[in-house]
Amino acid sequence: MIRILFGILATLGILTALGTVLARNLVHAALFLVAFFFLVACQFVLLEAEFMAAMQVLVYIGAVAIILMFGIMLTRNIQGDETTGGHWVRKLPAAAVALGMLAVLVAGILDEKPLGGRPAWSAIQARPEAIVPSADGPPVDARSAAIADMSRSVGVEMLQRFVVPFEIAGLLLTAALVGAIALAQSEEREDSSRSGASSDMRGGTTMQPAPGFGVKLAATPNGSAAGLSAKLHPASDTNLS
Amino acid sequence: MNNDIPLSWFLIFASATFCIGLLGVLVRRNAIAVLMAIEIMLNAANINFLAFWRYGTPTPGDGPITGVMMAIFVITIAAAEVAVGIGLILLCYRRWKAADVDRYDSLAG
Repeated sequence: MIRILFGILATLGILTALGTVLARNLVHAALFLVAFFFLVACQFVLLEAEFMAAMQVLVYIGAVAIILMFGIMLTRNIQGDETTGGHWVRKLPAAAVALGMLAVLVAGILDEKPLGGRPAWSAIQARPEAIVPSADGPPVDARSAAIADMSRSVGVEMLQRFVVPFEIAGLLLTAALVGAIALAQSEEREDSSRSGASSDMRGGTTMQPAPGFGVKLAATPNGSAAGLSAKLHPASDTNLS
Repeated sequence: MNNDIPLSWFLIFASATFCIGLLGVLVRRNAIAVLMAIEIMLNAANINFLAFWRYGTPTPGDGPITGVMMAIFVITIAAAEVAVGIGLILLCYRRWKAADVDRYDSLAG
C-alpha cells in the first residue's frame, strides 16, 4: 500500500520536475515548481519527518517560490523570444549529459557494496522500526523519541550540538540580506546619476550641479527654488571634500 | 513491516530529480529558470539526507537527527542563495535588458 503511494508521489514528482524544466512559459514553470516542492514535502512525510515537510512548505513554497515569482514579474520575460530559444539539436548534449549522470547514479546505487558491517543500499528493504514512546511502554531509542517529537528535538539539537552552525547560518542570512540591499541601492544611485540630477555623487567628476538643472532652478520664479539651489552647493562641496 | 519502501527507491527518485535539475541548468537560458533548476537539485539532496537518516543506523555520539539538521541547513542556504540570486538577476536585467544567461558576455573576450 505504502509502495503504491510512493510510486504515485514519485511519478508526480518527476513529472512536475520535468514540467518545471521544460515549460515554455516561465509562470507555468514556477507553478510546476510549487507542485514539485509540495510533492517533496509528501516524500518527507513518507520518511516520517513531518517537521521537515512543514518547513519545506513554509520556506520553499512560502518564500522561495514567491521570490521567484517576483523575479519573473520584474524581468518581464515571461515567454517567447529568448526564454527557451534555440533549436532542439542544441539541447541534445545537455540531455545526453543528464541521462549519463542518471545512469551512473542509478548503477552506483544498485551496485553499492556492504561497508563496515552495514548492508548494501539495495539490500535495505525496510526502515528500522520506530517505537512510539508511551508512559508505561518499553524504553525507546533516541531516534524513535526524536521522530515522535521532532520539533522539540530539533530545537534542542540546534541550541546544543549544532549551535555554531546555527549562528553561522544566521550570519549568512544577515549577510545575504545586506548584500541584496546593497545590490539594489547601488543600482538606484547609478540610475539617479544617469538622469543628471546628482552627477556629482559619482566620485566628484563634476563639481557643480548639471547646468540644465541650475537653469531650470533659476527660471523658477519663486524664491524657494533659489534657496534650494543655494542649499545644493554646500552639499556638493562637502561631498567633494 | 514487510512491505515498507526500500531505501533504493528513495535514492533513485532523488537521483532522477537531480538529473532533471541538471538538465534544466544546462538547457534553459533564462536565469530564473536556471535558479529553479538549482532548487530542484537542492531538493533532491534533501531527500537523500532524510532517507539516509531514516534508514541508516546512527553513529553513537552523533545525535539522533543529524540528517534532519543537515537538511535544515541546506534549506537555509537555499533561501539565502535564491535571495541573492534574484538580486543579481535583477541587476543584470537592468544593465543588459535581458534575463538570459548567454547575454551576459561583457567578460567574453
